[in-house]
Amino acid sequence: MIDAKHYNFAFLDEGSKREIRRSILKAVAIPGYQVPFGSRELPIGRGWGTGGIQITLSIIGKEDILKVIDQGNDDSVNAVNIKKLVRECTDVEVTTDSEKATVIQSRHRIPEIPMRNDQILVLQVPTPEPLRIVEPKESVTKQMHAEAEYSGMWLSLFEDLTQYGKISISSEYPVMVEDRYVTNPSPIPRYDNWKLNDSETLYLFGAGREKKIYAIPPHTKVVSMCFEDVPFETEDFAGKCCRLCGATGVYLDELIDEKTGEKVYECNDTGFCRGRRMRYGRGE
Amino acid sequence: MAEEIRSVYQFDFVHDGQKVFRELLSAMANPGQIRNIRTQAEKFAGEYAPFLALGCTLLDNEEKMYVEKNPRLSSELHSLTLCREADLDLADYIFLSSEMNYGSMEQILKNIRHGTYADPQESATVILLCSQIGGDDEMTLTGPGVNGKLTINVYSYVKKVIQILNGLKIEYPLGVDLVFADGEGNLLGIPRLVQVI
Repeated sequence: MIDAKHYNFAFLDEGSKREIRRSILKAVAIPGYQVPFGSRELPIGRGWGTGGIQITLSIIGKEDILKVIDQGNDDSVNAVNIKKLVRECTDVEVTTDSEKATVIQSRHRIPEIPMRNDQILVLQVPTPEPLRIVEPKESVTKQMHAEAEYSGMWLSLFEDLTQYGKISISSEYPVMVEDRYVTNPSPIPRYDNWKLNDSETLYLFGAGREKKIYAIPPHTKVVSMCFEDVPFETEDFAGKCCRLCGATGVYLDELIDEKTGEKVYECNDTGFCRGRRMRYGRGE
Repeated sequence: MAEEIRSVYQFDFVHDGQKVFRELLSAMANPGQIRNIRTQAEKFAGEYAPFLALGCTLLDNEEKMYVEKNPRLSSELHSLTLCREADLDLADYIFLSSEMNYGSMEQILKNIRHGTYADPQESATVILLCSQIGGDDEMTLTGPGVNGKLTINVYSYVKKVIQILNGLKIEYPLGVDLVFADGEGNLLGIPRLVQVI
């Protein structure tokens, strides 16, 4: 049984929290650089958000309000279980309202409502190393980052361009942070990449299986990698709107209506969509 | 008659440590924003209370510290955290408990760990106690965490130390991160990329 009575506040022991906190501070000081840390065992398997959970457990306090989303959804299995674990060993308030939350842990999305400076977004990262697609050895990619040797990454983007006529990466689109480190923004869609640049909020990235923590502080320069004559493109939802709340200009999920067989769209950020429906009195 | 046994400090390593960390994180992520840990620091007695609160938040037996010419503070930090003392060029955290002359400051900043290109996180963090952080000197900051340019009024020592560090022109990603603390529990974080212009 995991609860506040049988475990330390926020599950992790204080030594583990201190080590993770020290790594977070270094990550903030070196934006985009992957700081190694001693990833701990958790009652959730590695690859299920343990990096993000360890960051959340290390930063969270009694006064915090937590929101957890998975692919934009507050109610998916991963989000519900993480929320349950954190709540049971901290007693913090949980919410689905991204404006009310002080700490948001997310997998694959940045909330639609712009985040504030007093909030922190923790992102779960399966593959923190953006250079892994061009180099399998960790010792080599580490040296490539040390030398800012990113020609392999550029070549990979160029090959993609020549093969498909456009850069085909849909998520985990690599970004350059402060003109120094090529960084994986976690599997957020390209649509969310611009939210990393000159943001108001602090982004913390945790990869439990790969034992890495990195950060993008507020007002940091983050540029999606592209070529002068081939600008970066996001997903295009022009002319489409959410069938539930009517929102446009947001990231939408494409669904097939079982009755009519037509393509329909819904907001991917369920908290945002629910809030709009409550505000404007639209039914389900 | 049995005497009442009282703890020499009331600092809660779990909850107060978390609060100090969040203020420190906010200070490092938003250079130029002055944060405050007075409520937590007051749980220690003495003039070095903010240092002890920061020390108990960051240090343990896995880290090495260097405390400049202050054996009492060093022994207190060690007994609270089990952190070992090390030479200047090996320490992870450098505690400067008094305002130093600028020549010595430059020597310290030159000789501490700056990290390596492969492991820039293996660099020292310098924590400086000064009589006050706010003051009459205007200082304009730029860099990650700062929205364009930010002008704040600081104590002349704070500005000068940052200028000395900037003057060393340590090539990024190598560098040194600074944390200023004063007796009122104010904190000012200056990560390595932040520049005074």
